[in-house]
Amino acid sequence: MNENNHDTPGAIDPALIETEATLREAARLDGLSAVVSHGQPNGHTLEDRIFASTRDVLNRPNVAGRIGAGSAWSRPLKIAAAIALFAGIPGVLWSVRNGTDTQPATVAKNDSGVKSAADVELVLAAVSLLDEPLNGNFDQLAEDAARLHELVTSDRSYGTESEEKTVKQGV
Amino acid sequence: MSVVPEGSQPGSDGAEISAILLAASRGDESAWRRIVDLYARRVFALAQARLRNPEVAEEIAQSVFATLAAKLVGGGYAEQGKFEPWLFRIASNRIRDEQRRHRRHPTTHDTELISQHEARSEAARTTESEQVTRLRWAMGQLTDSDREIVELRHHGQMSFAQIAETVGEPLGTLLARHHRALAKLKALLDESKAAGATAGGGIPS
Repeated sequence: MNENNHDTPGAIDPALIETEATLREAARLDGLSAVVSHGQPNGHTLEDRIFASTRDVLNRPNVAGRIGAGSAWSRPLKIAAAIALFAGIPGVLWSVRNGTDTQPATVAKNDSGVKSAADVELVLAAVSLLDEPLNGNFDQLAEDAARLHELVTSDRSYGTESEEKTVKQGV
Repeated sequence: MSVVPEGSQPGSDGAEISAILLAASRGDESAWRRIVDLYARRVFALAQARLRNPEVAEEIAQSVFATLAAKLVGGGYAEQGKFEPWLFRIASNRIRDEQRRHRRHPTTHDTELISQHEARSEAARTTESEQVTRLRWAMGQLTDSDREIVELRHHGQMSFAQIAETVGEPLGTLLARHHRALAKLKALLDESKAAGATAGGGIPS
């Protein structure tokens, strides 16, 4: 038994001793449920296989460094790609609409439900392209998507939006 | 009984672990082997408890140790004195990611794999006691956060202080939550036992 289990008070409650014993048994069985394979070149125990599959990383720090650097860059790039996807499609829709109509781009109110569903699908499709969780960056992504959605579904044109921003910024 | 194999009990001495980590970061394979022996089974058990799939649990354990090795040699490990909370935080995040991925893409069409997995699960059920089977059902009734605390405690074999560090909660809050989770598990076990006795069945649906 790990000594850690005894370094903090609070675990022992007579009414719960049996439950804790069952939990320990379940944990033991889960630990032993790793596949034991005698035919594998990497070894037949869990520890053998994990050691064999990771030992090279220790001896090739430059490779590990490059992998780390790649990961650090790939994540923002993926997020940027997803944002570009959100920004690009409404932009194309606006351009097509503006090309045939001199009025500012608008979306009919009774169409907004369909647009929202499409937007949700778009978000889900884009997020599924990312093989890593977005974590904290998802909030930023969602905020950008919401802002773009509002821009597309509002009665204001891009021109009006830009003018408002310019006035707000005092430029 | 510990899930760690005989002769490789985790050291509770932080200085000892730090020395092993330092040696491993310099490419010492025997030190790295020691780390794998100390922690691989615990990380695997944690993943297996939640995912109930030994292959996926092993993949997660491998990815956690690949990350650890890369951080050690790349200088990315800076959690001196807090190694276990750091390691199990990585493991917990990977397990959560896998669960999310599985929820987004729950279907698999490989019927052979499914039947193999079901056969193994059935074999596992026959070797474990009815009480453990009931416990697994009861664990599924807990909230994800309460379940994580119980699993870090029993499968990860962590101290409460380490779990508090891992999940980012005050120690007192964590102790109270753990106690409540155990009490709920006990109530669920009693309930399922009573239901099984009266109906002649097992786990409530």
